[in-house]
Amino acid sequence: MGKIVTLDSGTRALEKKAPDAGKTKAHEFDFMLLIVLLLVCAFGIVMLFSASYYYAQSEYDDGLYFVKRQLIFLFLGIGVLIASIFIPYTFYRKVAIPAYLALIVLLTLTLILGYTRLGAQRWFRVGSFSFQPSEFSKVILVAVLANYMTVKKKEMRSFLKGMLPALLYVLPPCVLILFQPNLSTAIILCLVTYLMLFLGGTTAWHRLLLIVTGLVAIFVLIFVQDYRLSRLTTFLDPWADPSAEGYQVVQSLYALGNGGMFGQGINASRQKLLFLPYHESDFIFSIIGEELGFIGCSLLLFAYLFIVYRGFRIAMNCRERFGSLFAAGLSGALAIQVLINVAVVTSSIPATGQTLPFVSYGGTSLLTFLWAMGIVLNISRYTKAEAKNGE
Amino acid sequence: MAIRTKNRRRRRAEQTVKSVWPLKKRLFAALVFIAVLFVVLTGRLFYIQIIWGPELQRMALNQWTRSTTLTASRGEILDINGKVLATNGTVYKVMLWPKEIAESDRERIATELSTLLGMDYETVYKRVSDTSYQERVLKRQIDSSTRDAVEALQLGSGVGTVLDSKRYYPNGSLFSQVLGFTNIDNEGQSGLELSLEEYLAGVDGKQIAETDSSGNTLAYGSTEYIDPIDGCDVVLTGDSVLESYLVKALEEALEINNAKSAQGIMMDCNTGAILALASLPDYDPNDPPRNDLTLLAELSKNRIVTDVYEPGSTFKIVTLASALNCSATGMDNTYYCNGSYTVNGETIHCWKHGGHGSQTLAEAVQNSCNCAFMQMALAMGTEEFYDYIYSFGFGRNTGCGLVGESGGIVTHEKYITDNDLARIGFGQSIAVTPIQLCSAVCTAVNGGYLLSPYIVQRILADDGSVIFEADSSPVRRVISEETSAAVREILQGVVDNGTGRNCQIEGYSVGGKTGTAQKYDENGRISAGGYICSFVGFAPAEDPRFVCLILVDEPQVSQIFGSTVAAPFVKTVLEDTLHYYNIPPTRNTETVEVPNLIGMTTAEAEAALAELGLYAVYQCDDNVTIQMPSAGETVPVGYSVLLYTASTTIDTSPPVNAVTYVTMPDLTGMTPLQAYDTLTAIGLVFQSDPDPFGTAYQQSIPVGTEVPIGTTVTVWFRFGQDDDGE
Repeated sequence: MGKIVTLDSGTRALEKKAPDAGKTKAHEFDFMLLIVLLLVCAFGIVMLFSASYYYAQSEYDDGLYFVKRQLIFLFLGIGVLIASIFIPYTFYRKVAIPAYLALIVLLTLTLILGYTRLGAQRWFRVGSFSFQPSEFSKVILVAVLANYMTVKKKEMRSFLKGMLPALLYVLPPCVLILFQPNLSTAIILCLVTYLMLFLGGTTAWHRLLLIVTGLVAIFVLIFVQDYRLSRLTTFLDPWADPSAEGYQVVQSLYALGNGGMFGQGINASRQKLLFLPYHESDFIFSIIGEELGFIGCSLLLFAYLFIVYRGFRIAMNCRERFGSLFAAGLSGALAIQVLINVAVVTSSIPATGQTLPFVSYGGTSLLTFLWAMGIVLNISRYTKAEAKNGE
Repeated sequence: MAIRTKNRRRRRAEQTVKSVWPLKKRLFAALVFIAVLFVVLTGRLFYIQIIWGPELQRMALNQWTRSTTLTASRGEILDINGKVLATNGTVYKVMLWPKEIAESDRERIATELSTLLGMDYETVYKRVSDTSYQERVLKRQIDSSTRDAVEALQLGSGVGTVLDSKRYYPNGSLFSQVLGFTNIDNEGQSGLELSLEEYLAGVDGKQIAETDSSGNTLAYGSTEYIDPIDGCDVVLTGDSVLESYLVKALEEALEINNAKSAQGIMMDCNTGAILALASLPDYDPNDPPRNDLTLLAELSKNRIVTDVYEPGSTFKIVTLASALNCSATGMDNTYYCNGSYTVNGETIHCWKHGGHGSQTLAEAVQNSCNCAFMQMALAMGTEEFYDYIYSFGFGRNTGCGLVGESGGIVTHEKYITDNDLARIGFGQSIAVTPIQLCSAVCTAVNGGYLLSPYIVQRILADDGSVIFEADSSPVRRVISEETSAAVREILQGVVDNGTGRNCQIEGYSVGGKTGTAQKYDENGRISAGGYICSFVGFAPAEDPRFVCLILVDEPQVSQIFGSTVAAPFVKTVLEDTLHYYNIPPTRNTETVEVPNLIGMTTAEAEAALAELGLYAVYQCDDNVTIQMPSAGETVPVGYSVLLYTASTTIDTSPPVNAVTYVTMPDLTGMTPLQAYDTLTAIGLVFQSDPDPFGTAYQQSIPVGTEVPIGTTVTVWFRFGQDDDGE
């Protein structure tokens, strides 16, 4: 009996002090993940160069305009990546709540002081650069939820004591982001939350209730603002009005169709010649499809899936709950964002603006996901080697 | 107890495992779910890129390229000698590039351009501001001076001029109804321009350039040219020299007879080629009256093929040829005419109510005796005569290729009574087109072959190869060679001794026949005072080459007989043509000089002419005021001189003792007839100088002078001086 108690308390003790960086073996570090990640980043710069050159040349008289700016963020991001590889992930447990509060303040400030572009107040300007605080919310929310579900592990099956408080964490940032308005980011936050709730051990009935509530909310939001409804109908038949609402989607399909199996070859895209809007950011996947074909697209998707897989593998091998949930949540956020981007580009869901991580032009997005991957890589350092066999 | 506790714990743990998945299992499930979504999206990509791809690519191709039309040059129309009748002139068009016009500049540009180009300001402004167009035509077909003016305005890069082409007809109205005209886009609208559109138009080429979404050509993009195929050149059988002879003759015929319109056609009777074809009044295809569509439709109508009329005596050639060929008559037949002939109880009059008495066949034709032709028609019978009528090509299109051809009206033989048949014998109760009649006469005199009239000799592709050559082979034989020879001989007699004397040409034998027919209004009733006088002539009579038919519609002179209205003009055309082709004279015609008859009474004039072997044609006994031809001209013996007399209006003038004064009008530029009408209308006596043709250039009493009624005014005329001024 005593033994058992010891075992229990031992486990609890391990959970509490758990990952002590000094004690853990460094050889568990997931180099494969890092290599694939850096390859995708390098590939992203090449594709951004190819996709944006013509537009940059005609718009800014500098073909490398976007590439230069993206490189600055990439170097910044790699700095963040390296730093977060060395910051023990337990640090985020401590700062989760303060960071969450800071995020709320920042999002509120964005609404007040933010810089309006394309009809939405999403950006903060610093010099000639602007960034979107809402991007950071993806990491911070995952940290908060992972922490919450670690602390309330036993209560997760309860609706009032487990699930509801978790949702109350999610609500304020989501509402603030919706006010920008930025529905797509809010949806991603919701999906990430749902993933976290699933992983955290909530019951299926509670989640079903959540899904119903979510669908109702989406309907309300869609009918509140016309442009969302028209986007929805456009998605069903983009050719109904290919010169207006359906234009983007149609142009995206043209690009993919033109790519075929092997693509037109790098730099040979026609759709980037100003036909496809946002070909350097949200729709860069179409240009990749046009230049590198189905083969190139599949390889890129495979690379993303590999990163996600490694992230989940790290989560499974992590010796304690917070690390697992944190790594899985961040990998899941990456997966969700990639899936949504590709689904939009292939006209599988209504159009919504989300970047393709590591490839699309967009500094905040790049920084955020490099930061997230840095955290996952850090968690990989605390995994057990023998866990590989335990799979 | 320890074991029990252990077991209980284990059981509880098992229950927990059953109801709640452990984190690892949930992680694995989430990963699988994500992987499945990746696979689904990859499948979607496969569908879009591989299965749907080719179709999407084809749709996308449209927006990646800009195709500029390379206009094919429209084919030329040439006469038989290669003289250009229709070609393409270089003009310019004003182009707008609205995106390059600053908003602040729009008003100024619209103001300047609307003033210069005579366009509506609102329209110009709208086009200048409509940036949904990348490039837009503001006005087409401006001349080079307007283009210079546009360029001189320096309206910036948003306004410019580029080359354009315009159909140009170097000879103005010559062949106008045959050629037709084009619209501003150089598409044929009437005539051969319309019917040969597919040959003339050519195929436009294309320049396909790769562009970005703003339409800028890509620096490294490829450009594809599809060369335009220029239109085919069309060579007509017509000869512009002969056409100008015909038009000149028709103009005179129109003017002297004060007629409503005049038509003429000349064919080569051995091939069926149409050498000249005109209908007056005509128009200038370079500038057709597009604003008055009714007038345009009227003027551009090729009446030679579109209009049907009752041919009258000219149709007697067909009756004669048919009757001779089927032996219903013979050279030795005699016909008695007492002024009318009774068919089934109906008395049908001859044109000469007094009758022609007993005549041989040749004499009957010379006299154009209706009674003789009624008998011939009845001798043949409906079936036989109708066979000939159809064989000669009546009742259906000749297939000459001219637009709007009518088939004429031949009542079906089922509904024909003997009375109708008798009338058809002298050219009534049947309606034909001038080209049908001309073609039938060709058949009657060329040895008996029906030919298909044609106007297009050949069509040449843009590389010069012949893609169409007219076939001049006969359609069928209608009458025998012997019959044709007899017809020629008889018709030559008509010109030598009969009603066709005014068509005699010095040195040549000519055959022909006059015709005068009443016009019918749209209800089929004879219209009062409406006549069509015609003459069909051929030369040389022994071996005919040219057949010329002239119709004068509603001549407003008293002598409404073909002999004086149309025949002299057929003579002019045939004479000019014979000389043009250097055909040697075949005989010496006895000629005399016409004396001056002005001032004589008609009786005196007739006597004077009879002494010389000439005839006089006049309406009423009075003093001669105009004679045609004028004194001093040489005419063959037997010629009829047309005499105009002072009108009876003088008799209705105020009493002689109450002298009334009138103001002398300006007669400059008037034709003799117009001058005569003007003067007699106000009670003055017209007297012309010895050359009464052309237009007036001098008058014996100055303009504005008050002169008593009855004063004689002498007017001098001359040709072609209108433009020089006085």
